[in-house]
Amino acid sequence: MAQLDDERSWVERARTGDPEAVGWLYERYFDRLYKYIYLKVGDPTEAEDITEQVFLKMIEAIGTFRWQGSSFASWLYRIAHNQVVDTLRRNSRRPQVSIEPIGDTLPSERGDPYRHAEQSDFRDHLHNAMAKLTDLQAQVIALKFGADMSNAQVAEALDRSEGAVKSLQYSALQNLQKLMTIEGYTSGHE
Amino acid sequence: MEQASIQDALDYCLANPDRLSVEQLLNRFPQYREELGPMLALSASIESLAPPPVPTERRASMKARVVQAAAARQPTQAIPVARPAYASQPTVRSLPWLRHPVWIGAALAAVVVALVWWASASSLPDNPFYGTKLTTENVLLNLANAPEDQVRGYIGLADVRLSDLRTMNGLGKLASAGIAFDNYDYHLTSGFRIWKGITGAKRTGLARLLYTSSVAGQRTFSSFGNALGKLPASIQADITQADLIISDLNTASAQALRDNGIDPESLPTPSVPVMAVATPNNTAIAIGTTQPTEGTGSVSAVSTAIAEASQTAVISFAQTAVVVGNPSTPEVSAAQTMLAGGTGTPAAVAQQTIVSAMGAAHPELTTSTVVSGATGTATPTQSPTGSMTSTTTTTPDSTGTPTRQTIPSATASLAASTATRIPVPPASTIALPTATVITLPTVQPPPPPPPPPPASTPTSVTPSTCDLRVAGVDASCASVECVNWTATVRNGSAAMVNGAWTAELQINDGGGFRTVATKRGRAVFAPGDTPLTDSLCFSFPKGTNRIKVAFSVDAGPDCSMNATSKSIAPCLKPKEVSTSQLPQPPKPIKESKDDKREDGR
Repeated sequence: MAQLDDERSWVERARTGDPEAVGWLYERYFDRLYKYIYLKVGDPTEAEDITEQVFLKMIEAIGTFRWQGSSFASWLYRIAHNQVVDTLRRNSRRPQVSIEPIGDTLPSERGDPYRHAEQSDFRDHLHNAMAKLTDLQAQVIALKFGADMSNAQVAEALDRSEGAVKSLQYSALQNLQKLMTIEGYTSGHE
Repeated sequence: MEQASIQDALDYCLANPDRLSVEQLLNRFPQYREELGPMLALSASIESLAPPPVPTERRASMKARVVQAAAARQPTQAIPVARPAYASQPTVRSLPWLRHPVWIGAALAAVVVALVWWASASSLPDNPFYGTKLTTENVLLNLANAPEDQVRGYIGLADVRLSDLRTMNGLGKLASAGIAFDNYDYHLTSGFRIWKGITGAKRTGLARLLYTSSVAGQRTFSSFGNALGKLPASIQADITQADLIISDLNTASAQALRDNGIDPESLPTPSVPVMAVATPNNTAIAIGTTQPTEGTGSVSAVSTAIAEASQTAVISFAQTAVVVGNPSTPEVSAAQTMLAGGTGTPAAVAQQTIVSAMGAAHPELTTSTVVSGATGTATPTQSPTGSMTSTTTTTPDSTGTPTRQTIPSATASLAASTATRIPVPPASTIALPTATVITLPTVQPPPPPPPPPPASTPTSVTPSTCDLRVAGVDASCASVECVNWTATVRNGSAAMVNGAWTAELQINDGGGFRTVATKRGRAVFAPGDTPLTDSLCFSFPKGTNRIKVAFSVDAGPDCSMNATSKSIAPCLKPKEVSTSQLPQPPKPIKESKDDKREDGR
């Protein structure tokens, strides 16, 4: 609670345009937002750009944020969701290039090339399968595993009950599994 | 006890409050074991899927932009500037005069004018110094802190690239302009991205600039006509990308204007191509009638003018315009005619800001005053190697309205400057109803050398910090045994970067992906995007179900990055391969060698 109260005071300061407060919120949410967005778009470059846009939108709209019935986090993730949807819609009419950064697992030079290939393959199939989930299912996956949210937080962000979130998380994982299998994903461990 | 539903069981396993092992979790719900097992494995994989970390430097710059945007919404506070190491030096806060909008505008204009001045260096994309020109532009662009300044800078440079491309087209060298196409895409995308984060009146004001620029892009590209079909595939891809960006930019900026009650169709747009661009002896040039829209004046117009003029600067304020050049040339004559058709009345402050900013930013320029309501002109001469003072006085014109006059005290200071600077002789003026032409001698000084030595040569460097990234990898079947690949390496720094690249063909024939063929080489990556294209061949074994290409770049310690293409179906069906489908050599590659191997795994 102390942390939330702390956040509240930073948010209030950020509403006045206080750069320090904005910087605090940026540090607090950057990693989680970035991973959440990355899970949804599958492209780190795009995820970076969208993350920045989300913070810019946050600054633009923070004056309208009200504490009643919503946490700052869920409000922020709603902005992120909208930004992702806008981007995906815009990109849908462009030729897509799948980008799979391998991070630090460069084959044949660092780490195990099999592991790299598996991760890369997994990333590829996951992204394709995520795109075929319903919007709510994809949201639940991204919020739970990207933003590390609890069911209660996801429920608040999606304006659903916790029971609905449980159900959505089950159907989302079930569908992801089916879709990835259909697309030919086979775990290297098999 | 009521049996848990599978949803509850899954939720319990995911939360795992008792920190059990997977086996223990599955034992707790034996009835769902078969279904829960794969789901838990999948969720664990998703959870552990970490995106590549954002480089510290990039993250910091993103934060700075966000914080600056927040500060910009504080009208009564100074823009927070990250305090540099030399923090004891006077800051913006300690220079109250800098808070004055006119001075801020002048500083902004100075930056932008400086920017386009460097961009006006005569090198073209097929010139070895072109990379230096782009580097210098980026360095200057980094001076712009506020998002709106950055947008102006990016869009101004995109306009300059258009000018380069028109020049190359005129010379029949469009096929050698790949770097300019790349750079155009980069600037346009960057400007557009930043603009999207700007709100309020500034957004609307900039929308005019963006809309005008998008129209200029559309007209420029359509003016290339049949030439486009003959270009290399990589350039055609750039053009496709540019078309998409231009289209998005046009749509978004037009919408922003309409949302604010402005009909974009009513905006004056540049007629492209305006004129023959910089002629060999730099005698003349003209520009469109882009109307100044903000207090800082029509940056786009000035940018275009200076760029197109190469060595001869033109400042146009719609009906009030100045052309520097030889009036006997058809170009100047046409310019005069065209400028006479301009509309709109610019804000006096805009004219003064730009003129004085040019004088302040470029003491090497010869600045003259023009009569009858026209504005000032600035004619770049040689490279800036010395200083030149100028005095500015305000005198009433015939109507009693004060007219700013910038009078160069060229004699003394030029004498003191180095011999490499060749000033333009005093110009005579001819007053025209809507344009003023200043005559220049027909024999012009030679074009200025490229901008001063940001780096002694345009050769590549090993970066002290890593700013490379692999922006994309694409793979497609070229033949039954060969895969074409294209990797785009984005150099976010302002320097050329020399790096080694590796491309690996990977196949999955049932046991996971493995590398079966490798190619290596070296390349110099200019600022912006550099596409590399090549092919990898391998006789795919039976059972191959997916193939992909992994690409990596190594540009020194702590500067390695990689990406893979989307996996595709193997190229199993033999088909005829036309000559055009044959693998093309990579570009730019200094050396490469095949290193086909079977990993044997």
